[in-house]
Amino acid sequence: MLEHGKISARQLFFILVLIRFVPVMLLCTYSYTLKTVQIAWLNDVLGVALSLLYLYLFVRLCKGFKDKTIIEYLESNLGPVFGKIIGIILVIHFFIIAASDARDMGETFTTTIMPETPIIVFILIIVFLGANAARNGLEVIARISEFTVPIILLFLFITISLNYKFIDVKNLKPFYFPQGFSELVQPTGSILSLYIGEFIIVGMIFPYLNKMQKCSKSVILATLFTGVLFVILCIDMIVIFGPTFKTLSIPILSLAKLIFIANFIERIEGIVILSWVLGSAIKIALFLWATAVGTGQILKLKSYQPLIYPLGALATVNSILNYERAADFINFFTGPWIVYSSTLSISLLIILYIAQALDKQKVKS
Amino acid sequence: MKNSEPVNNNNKNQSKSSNSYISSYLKENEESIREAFGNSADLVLRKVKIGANQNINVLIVYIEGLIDNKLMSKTVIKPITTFPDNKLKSPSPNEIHNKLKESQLTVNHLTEVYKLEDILNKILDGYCALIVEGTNKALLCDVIGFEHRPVSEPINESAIRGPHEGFNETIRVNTSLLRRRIKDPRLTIEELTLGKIGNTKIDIIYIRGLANPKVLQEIKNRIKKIKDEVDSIQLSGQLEEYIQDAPFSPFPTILNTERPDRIVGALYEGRYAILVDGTPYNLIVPCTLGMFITSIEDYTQRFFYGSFLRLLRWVSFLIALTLPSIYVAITSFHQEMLPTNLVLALAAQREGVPLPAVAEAFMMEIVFEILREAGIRMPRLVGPAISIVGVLVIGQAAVQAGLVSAAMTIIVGLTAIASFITPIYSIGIAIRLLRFPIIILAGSLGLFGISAGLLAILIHLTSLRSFGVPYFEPFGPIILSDLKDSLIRFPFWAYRTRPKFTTHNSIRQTARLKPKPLRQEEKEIEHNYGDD
Repeated sequence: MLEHGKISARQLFFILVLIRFVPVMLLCTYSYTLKTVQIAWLNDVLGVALSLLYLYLFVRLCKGFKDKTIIEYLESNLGPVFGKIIGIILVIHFFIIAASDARDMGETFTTTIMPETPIIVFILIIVFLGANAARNGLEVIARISEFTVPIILLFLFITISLNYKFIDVKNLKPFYFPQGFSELVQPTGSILSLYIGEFIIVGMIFPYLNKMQKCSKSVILATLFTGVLFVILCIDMIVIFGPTFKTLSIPILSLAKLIFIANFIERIEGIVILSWVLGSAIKIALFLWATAVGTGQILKLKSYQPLIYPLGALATVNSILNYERAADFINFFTGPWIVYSSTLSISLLIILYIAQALDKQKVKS
Repeated sequence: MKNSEPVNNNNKNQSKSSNSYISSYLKENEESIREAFGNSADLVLRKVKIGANQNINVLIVYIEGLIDNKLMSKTVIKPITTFPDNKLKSPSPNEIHNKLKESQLTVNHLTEVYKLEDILNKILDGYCALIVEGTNKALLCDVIGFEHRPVSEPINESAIRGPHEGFNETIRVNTSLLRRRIKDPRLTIEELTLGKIGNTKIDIIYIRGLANPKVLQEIKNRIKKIKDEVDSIQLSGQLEEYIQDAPFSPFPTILNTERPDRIVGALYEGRYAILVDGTPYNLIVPCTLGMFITSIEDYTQRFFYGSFLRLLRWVSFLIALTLPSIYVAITSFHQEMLPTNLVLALAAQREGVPLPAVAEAFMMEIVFEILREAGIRMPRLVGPAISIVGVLVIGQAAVQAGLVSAAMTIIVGLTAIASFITPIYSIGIAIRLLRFPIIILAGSLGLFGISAGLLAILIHLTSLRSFGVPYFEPFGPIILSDLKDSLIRFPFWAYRTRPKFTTHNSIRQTARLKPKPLRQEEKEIEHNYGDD
């Protein structure tokens, strides 16, 4: 095995909560997909429900991996050529997520608090830190996320709860779809594609769990937990900002900026910035780790650590070259990403079913 | 005290003659001992005549200053010189030897050895050796007694309600302080001797059944590696550098303390103590970051106050690490985050200051470090002068002259005080060193820089291990049962388990120890007393 660390089911839960929170805290592409703000929370509910269905099926298939990662499993059951092709696609997928997350974080900083600093500075530092964490292995990533997630959740709670003055429940009305049910598709797809596209990483983490039977519980719980939080957050945004929610690029920051209590507690963006850095670096670390371990397993290497820093450098370059400006990034995540990620995840599920069937046949014969 | 101690056999660098056996010619023995010590001034070789005809010489060898003179003359010299043996008319040397060994000498502890090497080693510990002419064996008498500092109040780790005993420089006194607190035969003390030249004694102490034997093996392996390589181990800090897990980390992965109660607490958790002869600071392994923030005070006061102190210390830990950098970041990058009045006040103060905030912070932190170091090193008598210079000249005058802003002196002062709140000095050093890179990060990248710096520290902390135990436990990995004694302290009856990673014997006590209010009948008794 390339990775020697073992993580617990609780740590998996925290990792999943964290990687799902990062895109919400940073430049939130979800708000750009909204057409009618008042029913935005319904997209959340739908998206999470569909993701739950997918993840339930996915994790059930994971149990057949035993001590293999998804990449080794596919290769051993689908043959070296076809298995390797799927493996490479998956590795590229993880790599794209790491790179785009770095870009996401960089754009967030340059568009809000430090517009004069070149974006490459932020990306370089955060990818370096992420790579540093990834080099230390899955255990360290798990421990940092375990430590960070409660802090981020506390910040989030403070941000949500201290804005009670601005709540206007009337903003939730009117409850209808001006353009029919078809307007649900894009925002729901945005939620769904992020969930299933990124939670595929469970396939890489699965063999390193100390209690594999608890895996599905953690995944389902993490999905439910983040889902419920998103619905709460979404409703909070709607009742506070009303229709302007659609135009906010970083809703959490706008929410934090509103806080003003007793002429003393005000503008607590500082802690939001801290959670941006912590969250995105750990997410980058995790996906860089998955990329490196995946590559190592495809190429049958003895260790994945030497791959981390080169992959980090590639991710830095990739994140700069892929998108010319922030608008490109948003356009990618509101359109092509949804189609790409959903297609990839759903075909992966089908391929896994085939692999499982082949596996069972092999066992029989 | 030294009863069961095995005789040392590890002196490879003594002269050749010391490896040989004791000769029956006194002259030869005398010469080889003299030669081994290079005829040192404090080596005493005395010949006493003994026997019915006063015809048999006895050689007495000891080192002046290591023995108790009164004890020596009473228990060794006197019984030898008054050796009126009537029953043995003309005793043979062997008979004299046996007589001395069996009944005549009144010392507490006596051993018989056959090698010169053993004599050399033992007299260095403060033993006195007797060789009867004509025999090829020697008697070693325990007359140890040398000057040492008495057990006194710990100097750098004081407590209001805790015990006021601290370790001193003598290892046997230190072990006795631990024995007195843990009256159980399972308290095991293993002694090793380290060094090619120094032969320093090192005791590894643990409670059998609680401590994890794998950790003991690991400690021994690491010590074995340096055992015959180093010249000597004079300080526990030296040993720490040789055996610690992360040699390049700013964080200490071995805890050093001068309080016996802290070591006893650690032993009860299944940890190991390493005592080094000649230093009052002894080591605890494995340790976690939280242990450096813990003080005996947290446990001696009631748990509300203990928890309050803990929280206070963690907050100070963060203040000491980040406050100057937050000031730098906010004044130079994020002025919009401060309330308007505060921004105006700060801007007015900084108007005439020639340096940018980051240089100002850096400079003031260095000035403070100089003051602190000078405060420790200077002779006592110049103390008041230094404080006047420090407070008036560097503080007030610098602000009035417009060299630094008043806010910066406040920040630096607060940071300095906060960095001294840590009960173990060595973690304060780590914080003070890490402060400087974070100030630079804050000066160049603002809050992003601080966050990145903190994240780098977090990654480092979570990857550290101290003898196999995660250093950042119980926060990362989160261990729920150990969180009871981390940020806040739960009352003693709530500690059902011992720390997860240090011991397999994890159940400490039952869960039903919470004190309950009086039952109804007992209340009536109380009433009766009240009526009297």
